[in-house]
Amino acid sequence: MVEETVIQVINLYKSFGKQQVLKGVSFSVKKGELFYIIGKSGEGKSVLLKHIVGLITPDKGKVLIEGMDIHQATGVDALKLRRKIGMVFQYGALFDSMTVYENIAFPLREHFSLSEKEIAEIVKEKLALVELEGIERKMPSELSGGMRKRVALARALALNPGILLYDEPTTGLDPLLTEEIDNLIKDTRDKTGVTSVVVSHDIWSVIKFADRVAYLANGRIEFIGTPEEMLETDNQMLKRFICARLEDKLMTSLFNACRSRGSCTS
Amino acid sequence: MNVLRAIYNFIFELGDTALLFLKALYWSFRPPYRWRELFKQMEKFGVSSVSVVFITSLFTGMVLALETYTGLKKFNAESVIGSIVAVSMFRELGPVLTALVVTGRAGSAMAAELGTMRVTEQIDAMYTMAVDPIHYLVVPRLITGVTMLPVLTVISDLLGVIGGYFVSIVLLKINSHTYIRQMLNHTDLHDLYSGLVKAAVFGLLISLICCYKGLSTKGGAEGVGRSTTQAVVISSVVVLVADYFLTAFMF
Repeated sequence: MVEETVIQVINLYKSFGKQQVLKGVSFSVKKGELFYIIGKSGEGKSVLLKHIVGLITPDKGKVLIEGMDIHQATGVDALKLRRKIGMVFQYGALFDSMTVYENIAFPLREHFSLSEKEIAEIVKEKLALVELEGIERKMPSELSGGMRKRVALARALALNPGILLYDEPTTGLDPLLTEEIDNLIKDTRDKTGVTSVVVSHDIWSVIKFADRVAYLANGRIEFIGTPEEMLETDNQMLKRFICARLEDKLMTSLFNACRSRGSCTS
Repeated sequence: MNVLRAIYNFIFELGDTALLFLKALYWSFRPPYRWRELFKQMEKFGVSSVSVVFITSLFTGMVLALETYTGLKKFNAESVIGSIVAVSMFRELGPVLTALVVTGRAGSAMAAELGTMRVTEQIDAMYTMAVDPIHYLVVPRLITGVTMLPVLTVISDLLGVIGGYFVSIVLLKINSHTYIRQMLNHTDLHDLYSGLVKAAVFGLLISLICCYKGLSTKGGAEGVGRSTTQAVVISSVVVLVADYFLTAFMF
């Protein structure tokens, strides 16, 4: 089977005021892939992600979603294109005036005329997918950070998007919760086959599950490849980024253990 | 340089606000029409302000009667208090007072709510779910402003007249019959209508400014506070300036 490219980022440039954030970023993501974008904080990873979903318009370059330019599309085309992409925001971005149920039902109500019974069924199904049941009546403010992210994922899944974007899903979570969310991202991909792009600076998340990884630095993609290739990289900056303060060999053995178990904590 | 910068910012924001208005206008005629959202906003906007409008208007009518009485007594013209209170309430004080009170009560809430939604990425989330935030959030709020402010103004007019009547008849012992006859003689429907037109324009301006300030919020909780304050200050000033021009053009 030929692997189909769903996201194509071509030569993207963006600056805010005098600060140039993206200086010619290009890469593509294949269908069903679990693709990580890593890099230091403040390197423009989230900005890049927001370009893919069309929230930010680039100064130059384009983003093709299944061959269609998301920044050029207007009217109904733009809406259709945006429905193919779900996004999980860093802090969930749940509507805090609505219950969990209303949050997940929101995109369904907006785009389909479903009966209340059908909506309830879909909401239940999506909540089961993220392993949260029976919290439909709660308000987002009553949930913990991890639960809020799960609900956000359930909401992003409500429209059955072909592409899911995660903005720093594990930043600010404790190691156990990080592991939980990482597993959830992988499980979601495995269950639904959704193309997943994850922005992260957590190297262990990448090692565990990534199919491919891109390293963003100095406004460019400095490295792109599988996690195995990443470990063999010659790029000094990336090497430092991976190893942090660990010895190279120690890193390799940790890598192997982590990779084979699909877990870094057990 | 700072002056140039300020002028630039002013023109930029003015253009941005106008653009927001045009976009909202475009979206307001397109389905889906979200009646539920509209009624929710109307309830929030109207019900939350009604008690404050009630009290301010009542006392404004009362003080108006008291003030005019001291002046008019010198000419033995107390009987026209009724018409003075009614005309000033209908044409000026009703719409302007209500607009200012609503700015403080409902406008600030609007800016703070949208601002919080902006900084917590809820508006971005809405966009990624292929729902246009202007369509979903701004359109119902603008319609609410245009329709609810005249409604509140009618309440305000009524209470102002009641307040004036109470003070004149009960406290100042003016003959009730002459009071009411004088009032009806010197007040016509045009006074009421012109006030309501003003109120509708004020309602639109307040909602537009507060929505714009809310949507353009930047920088966390501090940013929400800043844009809420700005929204209230700008709305209040714009209401008073617009009041002059509306009066000048309408009469």
